[in-house]
Amino acid sequence: MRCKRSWCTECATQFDGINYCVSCLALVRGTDAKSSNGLRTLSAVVVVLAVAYLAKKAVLWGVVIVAALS
Amino acid sequence: MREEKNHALADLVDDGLGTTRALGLVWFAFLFCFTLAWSGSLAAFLARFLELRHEAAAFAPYWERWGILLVGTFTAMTMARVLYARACIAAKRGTRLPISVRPLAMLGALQVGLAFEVLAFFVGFTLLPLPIIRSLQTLAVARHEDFSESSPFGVWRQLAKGLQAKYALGLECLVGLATLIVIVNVIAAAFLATSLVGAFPGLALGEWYARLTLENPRVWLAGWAVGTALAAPLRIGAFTSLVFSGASQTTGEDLQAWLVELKEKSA
Repeated sequence: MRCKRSWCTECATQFDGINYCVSCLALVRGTDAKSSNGLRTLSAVVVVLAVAYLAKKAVLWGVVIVAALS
Repeated sequence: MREEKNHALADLVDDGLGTTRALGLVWFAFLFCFTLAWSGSLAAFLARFLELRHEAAAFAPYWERWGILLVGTFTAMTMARVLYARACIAAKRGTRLPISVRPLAMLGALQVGLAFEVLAFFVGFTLLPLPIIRSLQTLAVARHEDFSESSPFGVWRQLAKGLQAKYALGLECLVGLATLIVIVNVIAAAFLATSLVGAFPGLALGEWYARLTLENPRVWLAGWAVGTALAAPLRIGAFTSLVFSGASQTTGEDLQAWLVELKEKSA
């Protein structure tokens, strides 16, 4: 077991002759997928920045809407 | 793949409380500070808006500066919430998760949180959609691990998959009720503290007595800010319990899919 913890055989998953728990398997999968994630991370950063800008503007729009309604 | 399961909402809140207790005071203080920064700035913004309500639209650059502050504190709070949710998951699994969060998981939680914050500023004044918006924001934080591989569009697909919307909304209402009790207690404590301090001779609190009345909306806003920050760890703990109990009911199909994917890559 990679994390050196005790698990029952039902909870462990064997891959390449090594037993993994769910967390360890997720880490292995994560390391493997790291190389293909660069573009996705970049696009996610762009989207988050765009939504943050929109949120900043939404404060003003919200103020204008409520001021107009009251 | 997640299966629908009947959850007792009170048990989830109880479980969240247990996790909050297990994590200790340092984690509590960590989340409290970041949440207070956001709720405090939102309360101050609302107080200022109530003062200038009728001529508010005339001060556009002023509100834009408030927008920067609110978005900044919301972003910091969401990042702190993700770290806290991670600590909750680690405590439930009984493992030590690495504190570093995968960038896509963090960005996914931020994207969902900010998108719903935009919606909150448009329709929040009607109050009714707020529980739905807040429950989805918290659910995105609790399920941040699901976004580890997702593209910006994939994040929404992941969120919709096994949404448990009924439970999330129910849990939000229950935690909201708990938050309301905390807020009432915070305001009562403020009144009590002022009365007690006023008992000491030589301390002039006349100005405070004049301000600390239930007719003053700032008192309610300040009480809301502190109460929300105090209840934040319970909120994240309860939602993590909801996600964790859903995940523990997996059929194993997701693990099999991972294994096939890994075997294909290593072949």
